[in-house]
Amino acid sequence: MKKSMLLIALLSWCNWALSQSLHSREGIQDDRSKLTYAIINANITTAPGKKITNGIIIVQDGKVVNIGQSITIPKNAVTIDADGKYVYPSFIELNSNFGLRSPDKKDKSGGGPEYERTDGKSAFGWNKAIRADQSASSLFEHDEDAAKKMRENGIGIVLSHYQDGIARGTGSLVALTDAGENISMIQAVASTHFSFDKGSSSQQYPSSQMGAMALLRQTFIDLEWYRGQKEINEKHLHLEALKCCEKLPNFFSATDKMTGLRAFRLGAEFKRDFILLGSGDEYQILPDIQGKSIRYVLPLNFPDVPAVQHPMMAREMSIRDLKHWELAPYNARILHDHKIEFAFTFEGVKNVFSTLHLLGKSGLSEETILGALTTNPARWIHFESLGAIAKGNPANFFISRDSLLAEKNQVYEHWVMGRRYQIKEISEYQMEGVYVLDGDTLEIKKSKFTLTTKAGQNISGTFSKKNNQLTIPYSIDDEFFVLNLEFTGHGQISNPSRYFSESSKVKIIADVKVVSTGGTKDSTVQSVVDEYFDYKAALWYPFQAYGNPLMVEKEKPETYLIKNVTLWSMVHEIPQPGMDVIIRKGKISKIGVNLKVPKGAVVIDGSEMHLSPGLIDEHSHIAISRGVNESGSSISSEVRIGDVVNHEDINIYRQLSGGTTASQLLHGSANVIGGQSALVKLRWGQSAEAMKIENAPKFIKFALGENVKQSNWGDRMNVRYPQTRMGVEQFLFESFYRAQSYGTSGERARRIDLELEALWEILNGERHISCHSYVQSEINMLMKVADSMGFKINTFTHVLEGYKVADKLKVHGAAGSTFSDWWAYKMEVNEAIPFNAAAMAKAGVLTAINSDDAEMGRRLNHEAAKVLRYGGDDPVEALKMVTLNPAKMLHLDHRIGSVEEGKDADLVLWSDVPLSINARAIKTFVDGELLFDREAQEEEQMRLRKERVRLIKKALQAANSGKPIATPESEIDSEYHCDTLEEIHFHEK
Amino acid sequence: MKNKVLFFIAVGALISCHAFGQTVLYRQANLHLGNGAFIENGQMMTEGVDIVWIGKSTDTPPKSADKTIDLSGKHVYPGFIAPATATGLVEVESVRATRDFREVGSDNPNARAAVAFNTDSRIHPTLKYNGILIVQATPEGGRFSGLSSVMHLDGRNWEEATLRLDDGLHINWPGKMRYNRSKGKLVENENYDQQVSDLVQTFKDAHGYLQGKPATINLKLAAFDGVFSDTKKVFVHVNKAWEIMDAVNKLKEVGVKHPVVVGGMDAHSIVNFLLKHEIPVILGRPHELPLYSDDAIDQPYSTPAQLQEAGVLFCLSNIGRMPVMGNRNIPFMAGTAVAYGLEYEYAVASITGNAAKILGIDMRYGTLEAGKSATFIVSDGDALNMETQSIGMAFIDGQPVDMENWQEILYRKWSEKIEKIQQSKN
Repeated sequence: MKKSMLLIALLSWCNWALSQSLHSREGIQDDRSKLTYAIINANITTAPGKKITNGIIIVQDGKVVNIGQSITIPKNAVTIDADGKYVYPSFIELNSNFGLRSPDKKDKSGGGPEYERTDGKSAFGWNKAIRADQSASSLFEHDEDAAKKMRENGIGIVLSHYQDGIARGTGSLVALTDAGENISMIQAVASTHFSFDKGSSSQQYPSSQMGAMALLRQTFIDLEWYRGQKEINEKHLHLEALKCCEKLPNFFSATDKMTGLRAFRLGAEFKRDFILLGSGDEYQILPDIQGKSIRYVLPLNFPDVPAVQHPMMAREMSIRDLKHWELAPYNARILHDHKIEFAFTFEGVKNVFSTLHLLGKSGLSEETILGALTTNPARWIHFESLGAIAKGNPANFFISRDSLLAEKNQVYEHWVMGRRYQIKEISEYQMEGVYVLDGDTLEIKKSKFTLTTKAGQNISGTFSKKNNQLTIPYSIDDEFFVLNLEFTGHGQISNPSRYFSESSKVKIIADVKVVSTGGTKDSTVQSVVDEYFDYKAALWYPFQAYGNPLMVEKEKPETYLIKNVTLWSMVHEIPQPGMDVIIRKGKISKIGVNLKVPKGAVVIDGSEMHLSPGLIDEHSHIAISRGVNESGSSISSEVRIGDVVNHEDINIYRQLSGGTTASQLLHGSANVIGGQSALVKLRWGQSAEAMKIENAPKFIKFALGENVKQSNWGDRMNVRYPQTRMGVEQFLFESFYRAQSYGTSGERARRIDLELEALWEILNGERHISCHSYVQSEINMLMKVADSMGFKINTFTHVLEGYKVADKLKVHGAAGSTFSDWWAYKMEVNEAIPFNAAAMAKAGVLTAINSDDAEMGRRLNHEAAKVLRYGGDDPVEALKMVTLNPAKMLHLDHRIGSVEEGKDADLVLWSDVPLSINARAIKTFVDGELLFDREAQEEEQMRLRKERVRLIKKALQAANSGKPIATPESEIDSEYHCDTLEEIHFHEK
Repeated sequence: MKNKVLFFIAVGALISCHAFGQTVLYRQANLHLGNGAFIENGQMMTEGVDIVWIGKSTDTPPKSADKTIDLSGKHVYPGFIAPATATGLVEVESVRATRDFREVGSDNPNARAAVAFNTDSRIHPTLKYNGILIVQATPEGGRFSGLSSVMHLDGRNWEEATLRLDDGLHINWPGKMRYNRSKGKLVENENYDQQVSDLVQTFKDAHGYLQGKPATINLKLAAFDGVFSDTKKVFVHVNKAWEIMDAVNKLKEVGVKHPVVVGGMDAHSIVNFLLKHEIPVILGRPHELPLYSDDAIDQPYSTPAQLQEAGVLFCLSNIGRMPVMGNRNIPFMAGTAVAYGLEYEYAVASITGNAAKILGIDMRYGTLEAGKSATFIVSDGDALNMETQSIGMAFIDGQPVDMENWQEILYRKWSEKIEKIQQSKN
């Protein structure tokens, strides 16, 4: 496989070499590209770690024909003296849209009422964000201004792609030469590109990241199906396009670390090894990426100093912003230390060489940095010959004043495909030094000079510098002088002259003697780690306030004994005082009275305290990133909340502090058939993947009523079907009939349709429904639809008029998960009553209280206590509504929801009766791990505060030392509710 | 000369008079006075609209009662107060026809909540059910939202319900930071200084306007009447510390003597400033997430205790999500504050006596004291705890409050129906 790839690459290479003379010619030709050049006296780094001092490179016809220390220089060679300067292979930029116009900007924020299907005008896919047929080569036009800038910064080769859409088509590999597109284009079709950003597509679908993921997943499934077709009856040009370039390297543009990780996972489902165009914050998810074969193209546009000068503005900066400022330059170093491969992109970087200097300071070696700029990208795009200066390789290299990691550098010449681009004369004059001029002594240091006259006067100041001319104005007493010097070499001065102001006469100075010179001629900057900072202590996971120090091993006791506690087991009718509970290896191992202290156990005195199971939230929208609703369509059963779980949401920790340990993360209620749920434990400190409950049953969100009818979203929203509850019923029937036909007609065997697959699972009893609902008519309706199609509704969530149909819920076997007391926010909750939970429970319906709200999710015990205020009278039954009952609804009651031997040790130790307003969670355990400890909270807060103070001090110092200050910006936490349509919801406080 | 076109209807005339009512003695009651004091097993005597006497179990009442009610261990509180709320101005939040709390445009200092106050709202009984008897009906939105009025929840019409007409002008202070949608981040509000200066100018213009007889009537500026003489309060809705400090400094500069901060989520971080300027705070609801992700995780729960300890005058409100119907949780928010360090009787004061002080109705309301209005509730258990709250009786100005609750009726009706159906099936 690999060999054939190389072959393709080689073949196309030959094409490049032979394709030069097809244009018609006019006039007298002056083609010097066939000349032979010899670059001599050069300090050459041919490839990372490989150096030739005082070497010679022979370039002919676009290629390096010879290289070495003592090689014969052909007689016809034009010699270029590199004057001991440095030569490096050209950098390869992989993330570029060089030569391509910027995509059209469409207003995406408008939020149309529904997605618009393309009308089959062409044989492409229905979604405009799938632009697989797009090719950079067909749009490419050389942009000399941009090319010049890049050459000046060491970049010689770019991989350019049109940055629009989810499938972005193919990229072209081009050389930064103005010799014409026929010559600069190395490989027209060199790569394929993807993202989760729908770009200029005006279609409403997908409106969320999980929607984009579902769309791409379905596209890859379709591709597999298309590939397997023996006889093609249909043409799908977007699939055709994807099929054609399957062997090319796949690049994915990630806007943030989690997007990249998600893309990598999605790619792996289809054996696609995405190279991630990264976001610079990858170090924040080190445990997630360590040990995987992820390749990153890392950006180097590090953040400026946070604007912390005003103490109140400093307050606006979150610990995440502050820490990222400090750690961003160490991103590559951290990844390197953990054996993750990367290349670099200079997109958004103002000063390439000072950035490389910073990378050096972070502790990366020149070898590693150069590798990330040359050999790695060359290998990834299957053009290894572009990554090194070697005999037979195309001549891509630049000559620079200093070595790679010097703080300031200057490219003198850049050779791209054997074409010479002179940027500055190599023989630049070194002016620093001490000179004796006609008895006066002149010292030049940077832009400052000090002139000590024969008479012993000291004059100092700054001077202006133009090419190799130096002009120093000064005055002695009333006389004004101008000293004019011309440099001809390292510290060589010719034509020194001095002008007198009064007469404008020129006096030639005699006796110029150079005492010493400064200069950096031979000073190689190899290792510049002078500010080494121990990133290990600064890494937190999750990267958030109250995140755990990543590199500090936290003591994790395996065994706990909670003694003499009042136990709310949820299996006994009343709480039992004086109980002992042993936690061992994540499970509740023993419950009893006066238990013996197990070996190595941490003993917790539970007297005066109460122990309950961890609280379970049947309806939660925390810990979700980039959109909770795929609102582009009335059916979105293909999307998965599990794709977009966010382990960094601060609300995970906040909810642990309220005793919540597990949640169903639900899709929103913007459409009738929503997305698939994620069942998680609030395992703060673990990755998004590890938060998901192992082998959890499958769930999906449905919704009824005003939200799915778009009743409250403005006057524009009146065209998507359905707009009435009548239509909702018909839409449900339609969808399930489609699913039935899909499952039984053989369609499913041919091609998996993710949307219908989820419904097919429902019809087969493999997926449970949790349905957002309000009024009794719609609740009743859905049960009838389910009955007639032979499946069950597992849970009606919200179910605010459940009290009117409790008998029917009971008969159907549906559970009710409701709010404790919400109402009056829309028409359909006008008859919502806080007695609902008590009423449903009384009628024998399995009843839970849920939050649907990040804030309420951390005091579910008090929401359950409201049942006692409104119609209920049994405290244990009330507490069950946030423990055992939701566990049963989620089919997880064999593991969680009660305190019984053998169950998961998800436990909360309360300061008071859990239903009392005075109850505070003192300790919260998840899987036997103490994840929230109120007694240590003050310490935690102090740790956070100390870290903030340290960083703010550091930022102030950096600002005072003149480093650029960022425009004030601060991160906000997105907060989702059922009806949040935007990707990010800002809850104004 | 002051403009008297629309304003100033004497508040006193609105309160119906029950001066020569019955004398009732309440005995064996746990009296939470609303001023920080508590009398266990105390006695309270009311006569007509007034409380006439408060005493310990051993004290002798000043006169004999027409009626004696034994409360044996029940808890008596002044009627709870919900400030800064659109209660009565909205019925169903999403239904435009029922939304009467936000006038069009940015500057509506002259919009008056009282005249739109719906005494027949179905939300009122649900608030009374949990002990809320008084609200500050408040317009929302824009820079100048309008004029609030303090209302009780048992009036037949808005005039009868009014306790203090046009008690305050509500303004929304501009934010230092604003949300940038494309970045998904907060960025500096580049218009902040201009917005503040516009706001300040409006106060200056109003001040000038009110100095003499105006050439033409300007209702918006006329609405500021009383603002500079401190007879109409200025309620400035603002949350972040640096915005609060700006708001107070600027408002004082233009002659507002005692602005009231509403929201004040960050008030705990500038208690010295608030004390120095004698600024009272109507705290946004404690059942809220912290303002900043780096704040203490329970900051909103502990803010009341921190303000109390510092000596800042504050009361609680339910500003936030579902602000109107959620007012019924105000007592439980006070309860939460207790769990996080606030002394119980101060928690009571934060939804009674101190609220009355801040709203300027403390001459008559907010505490159980001789000479004040007989406006109180009786709960079987601790009324700040949902586990135990059960309010059987409530009085406003000595009159028993209509406690019939639509939600309770629905509950009863449907429970009976379903019970019958289920029984017939068994």
